Formats: sequence, C-alpha cells, structure tokens
Amino acid sequence: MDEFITVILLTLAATLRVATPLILCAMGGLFSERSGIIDVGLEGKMLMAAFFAAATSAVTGSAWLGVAAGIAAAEVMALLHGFACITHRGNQVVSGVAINILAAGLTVVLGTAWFARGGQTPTLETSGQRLLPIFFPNAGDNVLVYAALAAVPLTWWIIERTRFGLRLRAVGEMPLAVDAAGISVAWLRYRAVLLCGLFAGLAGAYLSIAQNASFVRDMTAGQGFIALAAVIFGKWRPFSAFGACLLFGLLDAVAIRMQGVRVPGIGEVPVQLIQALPYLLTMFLLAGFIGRAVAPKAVGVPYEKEH
Amino acid sequence: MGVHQRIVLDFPAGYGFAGIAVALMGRSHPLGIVLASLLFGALQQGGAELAFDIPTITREMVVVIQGLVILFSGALVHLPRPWLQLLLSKRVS
Repeated sequence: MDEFITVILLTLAATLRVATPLILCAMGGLFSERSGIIDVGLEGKMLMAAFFAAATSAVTGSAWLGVAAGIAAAEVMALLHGFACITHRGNQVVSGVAINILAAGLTVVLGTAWFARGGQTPTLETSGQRLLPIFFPNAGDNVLVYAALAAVPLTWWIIERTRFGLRLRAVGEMPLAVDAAGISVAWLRYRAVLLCGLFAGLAGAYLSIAQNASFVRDMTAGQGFIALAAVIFGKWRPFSAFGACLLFGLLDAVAIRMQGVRVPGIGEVPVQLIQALPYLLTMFLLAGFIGRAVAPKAVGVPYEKEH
Repeated sequence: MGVHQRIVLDFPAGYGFAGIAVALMGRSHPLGIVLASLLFGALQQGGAELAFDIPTITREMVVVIQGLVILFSGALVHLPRPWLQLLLSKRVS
C-alpha cells in the first residue's frame, strides 16, 4: 500500500513539473488571445527564452540573471510579433510561424558560435546557476513551479476583475467599441503581447535552468503548441486552461511512468500511443463533449482605424 | 513514396508548418501558393547546397534566413507601404 501511495505522489509531482511550462505559457497565450492577437509563436518565444536563460546563467553564474535574460529574449520576440501584427497589421499566424522558425535557427546558430558545442549550452552547476527545489529536494518544486500556480489566479483576477482586463476583453471582442471610447487599441494589444512574452519567458527559463541543466536544441519540443491547445481546450479561461495543462501534464507523466510497464490484461502499451493522447483528447473532447469553444470575436483580425 | 521510397520517422520535418506559411504567403491564392512554395523550395535546396559547399554556413543559418524571409515578406508586407505611397504619388504628380 505504501508503495502505491509513493507511486501516486511521484506521478503527481511529475505532473506538476511537466505542467509548469505549459501553465506559464498558456497564461501568456491567454492574455494575447483575449486581446485578439493569435499567438502561434509561443513555441519560438519559449525556445529563445530557454536559450538565453541557460546561456546567461552559464556565463554569469547567476540563475536569476538567467531568468531575467530569458524574459528579455521572449519580450524581444513578443515585440517583434506586436510590431508585425499590431503596428503593421500583418498576418498573425505568419508572424507566429516566422518567430518559431527564426527561434529554432537562431538559438542553434548563436549556441554554436558562443559555446561551440553543437548548439548546446554548457551544463549548469547545481548551486547558483540553477533554480533549486524549495521544500522537497526530490520533487523539483522550484520557485517557477509556485510562480506558475500563482499565475493562474493572478491571470483570472487581471482579466476578470480589473479595468485593464475589462478593456483587454473588449479589445478582443470588438476593438471598434474600444477605439470609439477613446482608448488606444494598439497600446492595449501591445501590453497584452508583452504580458504574453513575460510568461513565455518564465516558461522557457524554467525549461533550461530549472527542469534541465542546459539548453538543448529544439528543447521545447512542441510544448508551446500544447499550451496553445490548452488555451483553446480551456475555452480561453484561465482556470479551465490550467485544468487542461494539468491534464496534459498528467498524461505526459503517466507516459513516462508507463514505459515498459505491463498493464494486466492488455500487455505493454506503446509509449507513442500515450504521448499522442493529449492531441487525441483535444480533438475528441472539443469535437463533441465539451461544447463549442467560442474564441474572442476579433481574434486574428488586425484592427484598422477608419479614416 | 516518391522521394524516400519508405516512411522515415519524423520525415515531414516541418513541412507542415512551412506549408502554413506558404499558403498564407501565397495570399490563399492557388497561383500565389505555387510561387511561394517555389521560393521555399529554392531556399531549402539552395541552403542545403550552400551548407554542403561552405562548411562555415550551417543548416541552422539557412533556417534563420527562412525565418527572416517569412517575417519580412509574410508578416511585414505592409512595412514599406508609406514609403511606396510617397514614391508613387511623387511620380504621378
């Protein structure tokens, strides 16, 4: 019985560890999408943040400087996205794809040029260069895990209970009304995109200096897209998106635990099948069980002031 | 089947995503998509050959350039509009 409880606890801890970057990223995506800016570039922002966080931490020896550098890198990408989508009313999906491709290439090019290790950063030392667990040494509960847990109610409060949040929602539904009220659509959307960069930066920093001990090429491995799926799955609401992230995290943790384990009656379940589950779940649940996911009305539509 | 004669693990290697970019850069017009996909094909193949010929140019640099091309010709198409308008209106007058 004790063993059973240990397994459950270990799986839950693993769930939280895996879900943390998803939660942070999803909250970022939520801000952006609620303001009417599609963010396919979450993945790229996270990758850039992961690289700059690990590189800065390796060079300066300070994990906190690493986190700051990660956020800064993600913000630069976010500003680029905003510049293309808000200021120049470009296509948001194309801009997102461009950021993803740019990040995938740039991180490896810079990594090879600076550290000459085929795109990897040097392995970070345990003390000082990485964020360490606070209470339970084996559970990996570092600051960013708690930050992710705090980010969910914070996001909810900002979006649902503040004046800024009200305007943010309005600008995602009907920018014309916001503009008519004399509030700048562009500035609101820029703030949303910057918030998105902040969260994506934290998520990226978590990947490279908390969960792992170095940056590895393409280390985000589609987690930005899973976070985006979680936002849609959670119908653009913070707590639902949080639940979706935990679900995806749980499936991932189970997938790792199920490797080579024989399930009675079925036999060995292929790991790939369990890894495919989050995507299958999103498809099936969205298609039939959860009901329609209603996106913010103005999402993806650049706002053009009438002259 | 035509290229590899077998299925290779992860063989699409980002083709799907490049496909989205191609479709959007071609302005969702069949002819535009043909042109855009030719551009991407040229970038990919040209990049591979450059990386083969000149060792200091890595495949990732090609990826960076692809990203920049998508960024500037896809997402920032409206960037030069004010200057072009100025230029064209000057010509007319």
